[in-house]
Amino acid sequence: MLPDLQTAFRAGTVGRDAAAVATLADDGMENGHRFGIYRNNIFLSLTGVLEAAFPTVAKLVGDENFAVLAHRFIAAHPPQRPALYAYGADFAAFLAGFAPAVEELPFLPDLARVEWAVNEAYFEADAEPLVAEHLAGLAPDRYAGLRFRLHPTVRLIGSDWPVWDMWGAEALPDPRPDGKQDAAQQVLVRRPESKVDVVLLAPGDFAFLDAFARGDTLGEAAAAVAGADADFDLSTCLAGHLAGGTFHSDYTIDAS
Amino acid sequence: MKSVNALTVAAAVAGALSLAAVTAATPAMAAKTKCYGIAKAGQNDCGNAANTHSCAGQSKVSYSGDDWKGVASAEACMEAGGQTKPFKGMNPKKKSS
Amino acid sequence: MAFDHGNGSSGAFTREPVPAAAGVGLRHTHYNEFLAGRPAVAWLEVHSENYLCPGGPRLATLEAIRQHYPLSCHGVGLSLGSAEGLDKDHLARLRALFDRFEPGLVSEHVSWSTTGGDYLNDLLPLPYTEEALDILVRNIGQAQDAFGRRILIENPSSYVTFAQSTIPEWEFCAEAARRSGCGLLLDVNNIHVSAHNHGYDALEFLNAIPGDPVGEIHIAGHADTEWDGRPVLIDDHGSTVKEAVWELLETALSRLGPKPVLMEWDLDLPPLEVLLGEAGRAQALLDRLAPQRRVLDDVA
Repeated sequence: MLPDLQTAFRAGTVGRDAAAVATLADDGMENGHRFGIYRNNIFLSLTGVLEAAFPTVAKLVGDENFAVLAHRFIAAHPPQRPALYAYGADFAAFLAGFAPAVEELPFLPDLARVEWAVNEAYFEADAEPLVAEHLAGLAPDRYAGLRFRLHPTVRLIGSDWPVWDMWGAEALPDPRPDGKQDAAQQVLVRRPESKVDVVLLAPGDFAFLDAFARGDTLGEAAAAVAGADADFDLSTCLAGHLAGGTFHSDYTIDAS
Repeated sequence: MKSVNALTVAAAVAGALSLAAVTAATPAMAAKTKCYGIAKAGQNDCGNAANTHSCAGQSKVSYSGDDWKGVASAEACMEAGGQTKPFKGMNPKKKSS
Repeated sequence: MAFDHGNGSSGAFTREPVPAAAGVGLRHTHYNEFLAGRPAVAWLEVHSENYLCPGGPRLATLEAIRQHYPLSCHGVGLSLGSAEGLDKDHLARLRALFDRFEPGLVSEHVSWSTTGGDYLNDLLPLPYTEEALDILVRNIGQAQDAFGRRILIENPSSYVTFAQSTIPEWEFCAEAARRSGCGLLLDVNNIHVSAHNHGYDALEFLNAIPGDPVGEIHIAGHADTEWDGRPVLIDDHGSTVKEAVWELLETALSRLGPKPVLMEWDLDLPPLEVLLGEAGRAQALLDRLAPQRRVLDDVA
């Protein structure tokens, strides 16, 4: 019956189960020696999808290693929706659990998180970014009560590794990063219009933006960061993010 | 900044708003920003436009190995299709605005 | 390109019929040419599933290009042959896409891709049985209800068949259309590939197809290759159209009359001129056959 045939097809392709293919042949599949064409179509096309979403990971590990990663990922996490722009959300977590890769390249999962953030930002809903003119009519004594919303395309990635340096790299860094804290980088990904920006953030700026993600007011966010990062400058930081399109034009403001 | 109150926030925001016009032209963060954009005429299209659906099959055969080979040596990297030129920290992508 | 921050339906387009002329598949490698100029082609077809993202440059690009061309939305992920039925969220997203871009044609395949909730990203073969026909007809009905439109279903290319099949592929497709009220998208490259792979006569397939339900014809290239040491044709849409397929197109157009003809190319995309060259050859065939057809009509 059709449900059994379709279940066996899934097992024989993404499940790489030879017994399922034998069962299909026993049940009347003709030209069964060509079954592998379907398995090949599925793995090769989905590997191409992952390579497009994770080009730096693919470049740094090389084609054969990337095929190994992709095949294992596809077998364990086949797409759950017929929408390939969304395929690969679990890839970074999969990499973190794949010991041979992380033992050699421990920064790989975080690099994949940055690449997935770029992919998400690229396809995320469009929205108007907040610019300085939007705040021009506000009385200064109300500024502290502003609750900025991050633009829907914004993603914040904190890493112990120099992932901003490595994003877009053509080859592995030499020497390899050793994971000391001074190599940590915080990355902002956003797409205010048609281009995706991948921005290296100072720790204070990262904490400041993260505070808005938690729903803080501007006053609360500034106070939290000022205590933690002596180098943080609210004016410069805010001007940069108003110019760069990090916030959503639709903000709220507490009663003064 | 050491301490924050409504006055210092107000002053800082006022400063930011007056900075914004200047900053828009020369963002302080530009040197720390890499861009990933849609194509301009004559350039390649962006990579992630390629993760597309198709109604065609594949005439190439997929690599069938199942084991991580490692990228430890320059030779292994070359064999794996990688490159061995030194890492420069910043790739040659254009800067934003 | 001005970037439109509009969300969802802009109401900017009205439904525009796809003409009985040659069109090409719009692929991302050719976006620039279509944004910069207005390449001479009668209509464009996209894969619906490539435009289900919430926003971003891909949708903005289609929005800009759609202003200048009639559009066909060709689905590759609905899995009309799934025994477990259709994904309602997917149907709703497709409906929203069609409402926004107002394609003149909407089509899908006589195949399946989803089982147990896993999407296998290929157009997988069905056994041609009464059971599968019932499932297909039910799913087509659900899709047409969800879209508020008639769809076309395309005959697939395939590499394996099933001994339990009791209905020839051409009867299976035609009967699914008759029972569900949908139309047919006749892919003459797929007919050639499957006929060769399974040892039947492509003309027997073509001659059994009723003309009226056919709303579109596809042409494409295929690879003449080997699998497991034995010859096989793989439908890879990676080259120009083979002569045998041009002959099938001529036979189809002579028999069915003028229809929209689409040149598909998906793998190793060539410069746009090559694609337009193939569409031009199809258009020349349409032009050459059209007067003959009119004479026949006058006589009749």
